[in-house]
Amino acid sequence: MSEDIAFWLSYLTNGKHLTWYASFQFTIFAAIAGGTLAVLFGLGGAALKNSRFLPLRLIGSTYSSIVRGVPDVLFFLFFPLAFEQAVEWFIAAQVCTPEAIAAQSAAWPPCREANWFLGTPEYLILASVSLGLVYGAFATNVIHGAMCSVPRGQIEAARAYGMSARQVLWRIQIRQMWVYALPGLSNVWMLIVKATSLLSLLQIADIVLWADRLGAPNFLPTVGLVHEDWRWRYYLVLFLFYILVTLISEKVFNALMARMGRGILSEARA
Amino acid sequence: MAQTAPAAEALPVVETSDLHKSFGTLEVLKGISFRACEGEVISLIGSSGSGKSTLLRCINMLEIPDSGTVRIDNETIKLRGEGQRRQIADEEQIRRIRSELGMVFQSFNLWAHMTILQNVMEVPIIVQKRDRAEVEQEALAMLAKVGIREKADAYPNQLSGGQQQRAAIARALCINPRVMLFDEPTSALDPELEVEVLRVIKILADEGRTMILVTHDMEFARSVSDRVIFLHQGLIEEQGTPEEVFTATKSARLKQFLNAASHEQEATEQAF
Repeated sequence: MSEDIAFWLSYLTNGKHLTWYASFQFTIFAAIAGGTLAVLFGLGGAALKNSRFLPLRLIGSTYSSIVRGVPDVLFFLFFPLAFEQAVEWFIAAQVCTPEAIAAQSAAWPPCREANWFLGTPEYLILASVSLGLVYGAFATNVIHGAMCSVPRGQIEAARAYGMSARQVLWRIQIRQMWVYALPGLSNVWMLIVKATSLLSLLQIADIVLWADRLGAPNFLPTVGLVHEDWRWRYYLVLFLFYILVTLISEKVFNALMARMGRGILSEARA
Repeated sequence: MAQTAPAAEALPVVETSDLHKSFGTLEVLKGISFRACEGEVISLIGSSGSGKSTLLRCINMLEIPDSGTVRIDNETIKLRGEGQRRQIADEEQIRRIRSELGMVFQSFNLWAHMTILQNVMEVPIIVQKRDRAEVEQEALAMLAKVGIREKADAYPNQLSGGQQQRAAIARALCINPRVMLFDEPTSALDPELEVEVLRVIKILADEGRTMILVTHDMEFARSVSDRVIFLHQGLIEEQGTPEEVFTATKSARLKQFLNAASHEQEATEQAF
């Protein structure tokens, strides 16, 4: 019995498992960076949509309507690849000699010097930007709607007292819009958290990839068959992780809501 | 009631000349010229749709007149463009001028996410760039003056309408305004809360502040004003001291309006 416990303890703390535990940081990083970027893109998109200039308004509404419609998996595959190749194309124009391009030693990039090797950190950043772009389009809509919900009279009062357009925007409109935006933004956040399970599509050894590997039927030369197909057990651990994240997120959003809603929500809730 | 009208040579603080304003095809102001001199209290009266609120909102350019000019302390507010496309020409100038005009709105328009004290301190600190500690002392003094010193740390939605409007008056006072502009300050209030706000406005009038007041309360206009201006369909129909306007009424339209207003007053009183 104690031998069994010792075995499982050492099994669950072996190198591969430790790598699996460490890979949670990629998921958490992608969620937080992606979420932050989504809010920033959302603020930018909403500002464009509110702009006085028609071309800017068009850019804002095109962004929010088109990007929202593209499947996130597709965009996830498209954006990092397109970005990488665009960079390589740009480098190639600088460093490749015409002869090297003519010789065409590889399909892509045009010459070997222009190759840009992407490791996990680079992919992680590109993944976060993709998440930010896709979900920023949703956040744009949420924030735009919330900005319109701030009572007109208060904005008028700010203008009547000589605040500049920027002061009105930052001190009154954006400060008050959070109350109206947070419910929608918490939805967007949960979608981002879910989408972090796609990281392995970009060759990042994330929690899903490791769960898949570790759960596969496992032989050890010294012990024989350690376990058969246990992937569902590993997936179950991931379920628990995502449920935990959901619970924590709800707590955080409730706290944010109480803070941002001070004076705006009814007294009973504030 | 002020006993004498201010001397003719008193400095005009607000001066409008030939203001026209249309909303779409509806012409609301049809050429209005008037001036408010230092220390003068002017009431704008008239039925709804007569243009009195629009006129008040043209003074600080919340509505931009299609033609005509507004001068504050002899400085013309710069506008460019023509007709309904007219817009503010000099952002710096309008911000400086606006920060000296204390506007009080019908629906208070306090900033909901700030405490009462923060509401009062916001403009002096953010727009006028004054010292925080000094502003705080002054803001607390203003809140004491309007009788809600103990509400300094409450949020607007925790206050009654009358208290909110008094806080809005404190906010206007704290910018050391050249003129106070009141846009129907008691219309959104229950009669019993109206009294506390009117009392504060009366105190300000007696201090010799320059004020322009849009009101439907004839009793109050009579007791507080130096001059009353009656607007009818976008034009000044009659103006003068409260005595001249309310007692020695000349215009038939004003007589009709005052009759209707006093009937309404009686009806309200009977309802209680």
